[in-house]
Formats: sequence, structure tokens, C-alpha cells
Amino acid sequence: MPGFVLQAAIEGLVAGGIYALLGLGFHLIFGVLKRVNLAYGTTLMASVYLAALSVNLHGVPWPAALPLALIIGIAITLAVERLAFAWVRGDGRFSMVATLGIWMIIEEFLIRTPGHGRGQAIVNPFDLALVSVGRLELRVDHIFAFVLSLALCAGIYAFLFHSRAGLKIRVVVEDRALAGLLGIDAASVTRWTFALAAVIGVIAGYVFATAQHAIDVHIGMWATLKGLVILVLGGAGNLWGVVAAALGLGIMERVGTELAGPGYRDLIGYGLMLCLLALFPHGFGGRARLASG
Amino acid sequence: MSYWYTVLTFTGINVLLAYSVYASYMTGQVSLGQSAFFGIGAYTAATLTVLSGANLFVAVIAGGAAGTIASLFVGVPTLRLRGYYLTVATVAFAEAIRVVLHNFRFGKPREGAAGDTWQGPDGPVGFRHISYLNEHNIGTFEYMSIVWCVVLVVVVVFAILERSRLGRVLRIIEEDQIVAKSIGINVSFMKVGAFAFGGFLAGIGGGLYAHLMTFISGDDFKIYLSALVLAYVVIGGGQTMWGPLVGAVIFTLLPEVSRPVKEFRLELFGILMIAVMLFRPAGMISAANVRKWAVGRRLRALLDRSSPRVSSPMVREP
Repeated sequence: MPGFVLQAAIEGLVAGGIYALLGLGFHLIFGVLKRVNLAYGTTLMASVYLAALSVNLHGVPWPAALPLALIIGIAITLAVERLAFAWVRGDGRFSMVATLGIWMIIEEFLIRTPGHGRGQAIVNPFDLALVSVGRLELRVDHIFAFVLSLALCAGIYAFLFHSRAGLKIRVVVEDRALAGLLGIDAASVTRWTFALAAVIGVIAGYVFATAQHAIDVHIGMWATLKGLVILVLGGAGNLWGVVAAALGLGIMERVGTELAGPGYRDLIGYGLMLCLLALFPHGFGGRARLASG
Repeated sequence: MSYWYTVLTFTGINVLLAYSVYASYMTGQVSLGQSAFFGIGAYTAATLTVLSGANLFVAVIAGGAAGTIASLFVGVPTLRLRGYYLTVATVAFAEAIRVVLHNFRFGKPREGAAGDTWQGPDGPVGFRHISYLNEHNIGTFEYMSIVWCVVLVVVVVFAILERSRLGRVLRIIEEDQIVAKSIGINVSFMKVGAFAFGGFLAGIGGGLYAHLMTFISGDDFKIYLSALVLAYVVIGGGQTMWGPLVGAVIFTLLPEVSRPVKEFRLELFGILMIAVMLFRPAGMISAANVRKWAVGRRLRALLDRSSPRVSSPMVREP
């Protein structure tokens, strides 16, 4: 393998770490809770954007940006849960359309903030420091993001499958009525899961934006697009499938960019997704359905 | 006056787009890919008239065919599945196609022109000089008439569809896919067919749009367009064919007559979408409204005065 392809593949794998985190957030909402929340990607972007804006305009110290983004993200996500899922009754289609409305409102709101939706700089503590491994050169912040992502994925797995709270979530998803009989407050468990997904997603968004040194409104569409592609590739019901799909997508996009040029990068993931749906309708991992209505 | 003709032409194109969403909405599927089919139709039709000198009619039909093919490409793998795979796939598709159109370069150098030297889609610069209407002396009024003739045909098609067995079959699929299967309906085939018809309508709309604008670029076909068109259907009402028509007409004309509405258009749509889903998921015009008003039946009764009135035995005496 030529050196530059190997270098690209490693970079792609590292970028895939952030995709894995993002895919995990989508997995919790779409796969575990079975809610089609189209406002999710935009919510992540908006929270990081507003945090960056308050750092740049109002002199909030930069280490406070991530906690601030997390608070905003949780608040918006819980509002979406109330407005579009708890209060909208009937067909799942209606909730989905309501989340689309929320998406439009959030993006327009950001364009009317003092930042006008334009890029906001984000402090990157690692700057552009590089480490050399043999003949490969890697950015320190990318490695940090990769390790953090995989650790969080492992943590979520342990939480879902080896803790009482995780068991509660799984019971609620399996059968709401049964959860009630067991004395589990299904509404509260759902809210907590939404909040958890918001935390993971905001961290993913923040780490990605930090690696880019800036955030703008396009990150919302980016998050939605990547998250949905990864979700479908990984199979909606399987956490490790999602992680594998995210890493694979990261590698293929980066190598593809090297070989075919940057213009068509998004098409790689998209083409993969359609081929996979045609061949294995339920993704590589498991046969769980994506939020069937 | 010519400004209002153009506005009405836009209205007609938006009605076409609304019906393209409505076609698959009838089967319970929500598509956010209409901006992609619209864009593919626009690029195909414009390429045909500009580079091969094709007739407008032929080019627009070809745009519709391109939209159909694109929608089959998305619909066939995803509509076999239950759940919201179609929505998820169309979100990604719309964005992917925008990127492709943004980078698409094809055509030949323009002869005898200074400055703009490219004829055909020119990557991020966009597709300029779609001058068919100018070259053939088609004025704004004529073009408006052409577009609204197409709209009229589509409205009639949907009126017939809704009164037909096929229309009821689509509604049964929306109501309950398992029941639909149990009475021998080929659910996947019907869903794909409805979606592909939607792709056709969006492609036709795109072809008409490209020639109206004379300049198009990948950025005209962002996913917000899909969201707006879905909003026309959802707010207007997705239960009968009148909802998309009324929704598209009102929400294209309203921003033109009211400046604040124009400025806060997207917020307004967002809030209305949430409000409608919370309080009246059937939209402005529900099936119950249409039955109650029964405009068609009343008209027939008016025309047919000679028919003897049947008095109800339940009439209360004063």
C-alpha cells in the first residue's frame, strides 16, 4: 500500500472516532428509544454554536464553553422531547414533522443571533501539534478525540447492559405497559435517555468543532447526515455495529477523498448506505427496525 | 403586472411540488428528497434545451423521467422496509445530490461571448444562460399559462385518483400495512409507485423552474426546500387532495403580500408545523371538512333543480 493511502486510512480511522460518538447519540434516540428526532443534529450544532458565541462575544472563559454547550443541549433536547414526542399524539409521522419544524426554527434563530450564523472560532488547546509514528504523522487532538470517543462508547455499553438504570431503559423500550407494572416511571426514563443522548451528541459536536477550530450552522446538516448514514449502516439496534460503521465510514471517506477528490466525499457514505439497504435491509448488525411507526 | 405573473408561475411550481410530496404522503410515507428530484429535473431539462436545443415540452418530460429514475433509486431499497427508512434515506439523498449538483460541470464553451464563456452546468458557479423562453419569445403571461395548464392536469389526475379504487388502496396502506397485505395488496409495489410518481412531478416542476429562473445552482436545491414543501402539505392538510393545493397557494402568495411574513417565513413555517401537529394533525382542510362542505355535490344539486327533493321523515314540525 502506498504511504499516502496508509496515512489517509489512519487519519480516517481517527476521524471515525468522532463519527462513532455521533452515531452513538443517534443510536440512543433513533435506535434505543425509537424516536425519529430530525432536530437532533441541529440541536447539537446550536448548543456548541451558542456556547462559542458567548465565549467570543461575552467574554466567557473558554473552558466553560463545553459545560455551557451541554446545558443548552440538554435543555433543547428535553424541550424537543416534550413538544414533539410527549405532547404530539398518534402517528409517529406527526412527531417527525414537528421535529422538522423545530429544526427550521433553531437554524433561523441562529442566523438572527449576533453571530448571524457565520463561523465562530473555538479554542483548540492542542492547536495543531503533531506526533510522528514511524513515517506517519498524526494530530494530537485527533488522537485525543479518538480515545475519548471509544471510551465513551464503552461507557455507554456498560451503562445500558450492566447497570440497573440501563436495564430500566431497556424495559421501557421493550414494553411501556410492563415497565409501569414494574414501578418504572417510563416518562422519566425516556427524558433521562434523551438527556444522555444530548450529552453524547454535544460532546461529539464540540470535539469535531474544536478539531476544525470553528463552528458554523452547516455543522447541523453535517451531523444529521453523518449520523443517519452511520445509523443505517450499523443497523439501528446494535451499538457495536454503529461503532464499526462509523470507523469504516471515516476510513472510506478519507481514503476516497485522497483518491477521488473532496467534492464527492459525501457521496461515498451515501452510496454505501443505499447499497447496504438494498442488500442487507437491516444493516450489518441485527434485525432491529428503525423506529417503525 | 409581469411581476405577478412570475409570482403565480412560482405558485404553480410549488403546487406541483406539494403534490409530489402528497403522492407518497397518501401511503403514509414522508419524503424529504423532493429538493433533489426537483434539482435533477431542473438540471436535466435545462441541459437538454441549452446543449441539445430540445423542445421545452420534451425537455420538461425528460426532467420528470430523470426525477422518476432518481426516486426509484432511493425508493426501491428503502420502501420495502417498515419504519421511517425512506425519510432517513431521503434526507441524506437530498444533501448528497446538492453536493453533486454543486460540483457538476458539463457542456461546451460559448461561442462569441465575452466574460461568461461556459454553456451548461459549471460547478459551483451554477448553470447560467438558460434562455429558452427568451429565444422563443415566450412572455411571462404565456409561461404562467403553460405552468398552470400542467397544474390543472395534475389536479385532475389527483381528483380521479382519489375517487378511484387505487386511491383507496393507497389510503389503506397509510392506515395499516398489515391489513393492506392481508387483503392482497402489494404494499411495496404501491408505495414505490406512489413515490416514483412524486419524483416525476418534482422533476417536471424542476424543469419548469429552471426555464423560469434562467439561472440555477446546486444551492437552489437545499433540503430546506423539501422541508418547506412538506410544510405546505402538512399545514394545508394531508388527508385530501385539497390540502396541498390550498397550502401551496396560500403559503407562496402570503410572503408576497406581507413583508413581515416574508422576513420570518421559515420561523413561521416551523411554528405552524409544530402547532398543526399538536392541535390539528389533519391540517387546515381535513377529510371531514371536505365531506361536510361537499362542494361538488352541492354544485350538482344546484344544476339539477328538476330532481324531486326527498323530504326526510325525521323533520321536526315547528
